[in-house]
Amino acid sequence: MGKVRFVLVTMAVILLVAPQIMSSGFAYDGLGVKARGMGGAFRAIADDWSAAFYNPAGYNKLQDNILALNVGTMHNRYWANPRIKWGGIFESGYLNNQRIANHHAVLNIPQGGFVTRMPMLGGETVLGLAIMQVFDQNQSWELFQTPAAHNDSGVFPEDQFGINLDAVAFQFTAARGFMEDKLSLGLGLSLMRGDLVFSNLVMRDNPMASPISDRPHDKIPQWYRTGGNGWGFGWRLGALYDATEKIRVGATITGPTSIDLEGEADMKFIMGESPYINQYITSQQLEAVLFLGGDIIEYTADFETTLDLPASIGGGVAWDIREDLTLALDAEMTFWSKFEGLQFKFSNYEGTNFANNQILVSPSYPNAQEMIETDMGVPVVWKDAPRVAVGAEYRPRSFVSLRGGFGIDKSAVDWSNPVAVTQVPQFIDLGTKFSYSLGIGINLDGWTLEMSGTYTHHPDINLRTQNDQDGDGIVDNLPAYYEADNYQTVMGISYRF
Amino acid sequence: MRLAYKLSVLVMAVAIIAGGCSDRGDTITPITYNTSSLVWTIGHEYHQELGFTMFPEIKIDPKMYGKVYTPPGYDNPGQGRPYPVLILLSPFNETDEFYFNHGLKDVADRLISEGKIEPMIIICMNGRNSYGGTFYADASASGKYTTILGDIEGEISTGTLIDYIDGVFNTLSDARHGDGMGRKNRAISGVGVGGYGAMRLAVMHSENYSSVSAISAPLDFDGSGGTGGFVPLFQNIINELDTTALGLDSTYKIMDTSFNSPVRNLIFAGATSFSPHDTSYVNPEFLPYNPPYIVEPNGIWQSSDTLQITDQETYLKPYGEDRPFKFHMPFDKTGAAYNPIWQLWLDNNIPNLMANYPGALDTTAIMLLTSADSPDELFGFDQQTLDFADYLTSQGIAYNDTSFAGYPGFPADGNAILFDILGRILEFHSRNFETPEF
Repeated sequence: MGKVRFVLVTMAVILLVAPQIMSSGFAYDGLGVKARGMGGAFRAIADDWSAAFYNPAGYNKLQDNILALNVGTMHNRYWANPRIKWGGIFESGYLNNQRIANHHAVLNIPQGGFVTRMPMLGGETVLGLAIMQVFDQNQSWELFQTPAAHNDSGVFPEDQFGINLDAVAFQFTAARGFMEDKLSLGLGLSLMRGDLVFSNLVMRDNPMASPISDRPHDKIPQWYRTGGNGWGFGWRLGALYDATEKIRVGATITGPTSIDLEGEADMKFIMGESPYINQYITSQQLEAVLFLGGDIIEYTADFETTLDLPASIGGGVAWDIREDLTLALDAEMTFWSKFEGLQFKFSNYEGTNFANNQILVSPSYPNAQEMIETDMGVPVVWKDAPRVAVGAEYRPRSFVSLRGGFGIDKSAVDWSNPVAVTQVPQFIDLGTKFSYSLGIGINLDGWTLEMSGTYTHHPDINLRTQNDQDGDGIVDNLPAYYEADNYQTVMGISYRF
Repeated sequence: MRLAYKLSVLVMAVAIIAGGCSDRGDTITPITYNTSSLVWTIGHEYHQELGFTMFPEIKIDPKMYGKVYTPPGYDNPGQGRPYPVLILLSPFNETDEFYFNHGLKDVADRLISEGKIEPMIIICMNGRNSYGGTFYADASASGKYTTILGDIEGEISTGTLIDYIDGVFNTLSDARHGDGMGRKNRAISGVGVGGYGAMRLAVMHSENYSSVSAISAPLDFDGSGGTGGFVPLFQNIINELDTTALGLDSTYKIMDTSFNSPVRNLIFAGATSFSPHDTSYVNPEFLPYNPPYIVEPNGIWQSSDTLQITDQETYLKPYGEDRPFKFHMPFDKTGAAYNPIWQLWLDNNIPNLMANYPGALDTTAIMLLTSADSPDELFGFDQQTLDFADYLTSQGIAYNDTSFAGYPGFPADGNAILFDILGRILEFHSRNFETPEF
């Protein structure tokens, strides 16, 4: 009774606390086959290579050397039905009232690790090296068609709104036991590689006076795509405590990571096209030609930005109810409030209008220069967000493990405050998400073959309010009716020796 | 067996999840419509007065220019179906390109493709001249627009614009389709001063137009109380004069006629339409373009328009007595309306014109559009439109009253959102055409 009470109280504390403290955003939750099969409730189990992520202290419990390789496949199955009209009335060029899917892409994410007990350290310290994708976001959309009245020959690339963000940790982990191995502590230090391809389409206010800026030329669509990479450092600390023979409690702290990204950006502006532009040239001089001559301005620039990845804390409990059945409960809070989106700083512009005819460095074009040589931002206002997961593993035979799990992710978006919602197609987080996982593991003479599948459902969101979060005159969110589901399959093979 | 069953369920579940990776394909429906409409440039020379205007742009070339939209599928008379006609008059300081520069072709193409409007011919007329524009009045000094745009004389090459359009384009006309068919399928509209011109023509030539719309137009020159409309602008013009060097009297007499004050130029344009000083002088250089001159015994060329104002109080001749650009302002140096001249303007006020043409709008469909969130504070045209709406109400004349607004950061001032209003204008006139089935 004492054990049961302990487990129940611990679970209750985690469940009660987690939703009030707050984990979600674009954290990748597809690590480890066993962990995913149990819905991610793995902090207090942490008995394979993926403990490097879930709880580094778990390495202390590993008695064998392990070499593991996982491949995760993921399909972000999203829909957006844009609802963008200026002032709620005026057509904007967005493909309103169309249920549009993000471009088809099945993502393949390899990961793996090597764990060994080091003889030179008395065999009591376990070391490991893992390569893990800890943050991931990958989708792209086409949601806009340049209005023919603005410019009937202007077309943007298909990845108008897109992101391919990979944050991969090359983590060195060390773990050791204390208190006769009842307590395990582990530390992971990682070199973090960030790769980002980000594309966005924004509507810029036409800076010219009327009639150059009259509808339908009041907004000038700008598309940009940045591609670059960078490095940062990260750490995670874990503890695992054997409360009883059958109950373990785990806790982790993950530090924040900043990755400075650099690369090259492609830019494209589709300027207005007026059939009789000569009428305006006398009144607003040569710049009118640029704004109403139907130009499609393309150029490149260097960019730099900082990717601030959030810290998190987590706790979990695992209970071996029977010899063949284990239950686990996890809670994690990710401090997404520290993530403020992406701010791109551009420099070294190169393109026809800069190099050849020098239009955009001419003092005759002050409005164009100010508009085109502008740094861009994707401000995000998020809050800290919790995640709770429960999982179970059933071992009907010595060589077979069947797993199941269920997870609840609170949204990092503050949906209770519509004017602060910075929902954009690049970061899909539509509210409290529910994940359902199943998995299987087969053990054969030191080899383990595993597979898990997870389905995650987001609530539908009807976002109507436009939001200029940073006050730069550019709408920072993308109002639409959003629907989202994720499908994830992770397969793995490992060898214990 | 039990284990095998569980394994089967598990494998199937995983397969379902993996099946979620199917390609949904391209779910986008591109916005497309028939854009094979054409835009033509026309230049029609009326056989009479237009060449007498004092404005260089017109005096050199007496043709009245326009641009004509013909819908997709259009074909010449006798080779395709005929179409109703909508005439759009340009606002002050704008040309026949104005509506096309605000997306007219795209709006019309889209609405026709969507079946929201009847395919129609749309004629955009140029009203711009050296002083910004005309009020589409009849005056030798600024051109006989009312006659040119409103009358039918029956001669294609030398007649009015309607004669020319009905002769050249595949319109629904009385001549080809029977009496009354032309009026039922002819409409007129305009923005600002163009809206005044449209309403003026609808009143003075109601026999030829069955529907009219005006957008933010000066339709009530003195407002509902006699002190609105243009009257407040008079004081504004006086107030903006720099009288420090010459004093008020002299400054008033040599008011700057260059384009540095839109309001002042608007009044100048009105003065050349409603209160020109003397149209008897004609520059002989106009001769080749306009045959029907009258040659006085003293050898001076004179037009058939005999308006001559002898009042000197508000007489302006910025280029001197020898030049034709001479007119009388409707207000004096104190900014007060000067009745002898102001009355000439009020004679052209739409309510007064309606009094001279009783019942003119009885069978005419009317639509008035005004800005709801940012009235035209510079010219006050929106208020004039609202005052005119009140006048129509007081006369028991039905009209469609609608307002438009911009969006945050983009107020609906001037012509800024005309692109979005055009659809309403086209739909209104389309509803009122009586186009037979083809």
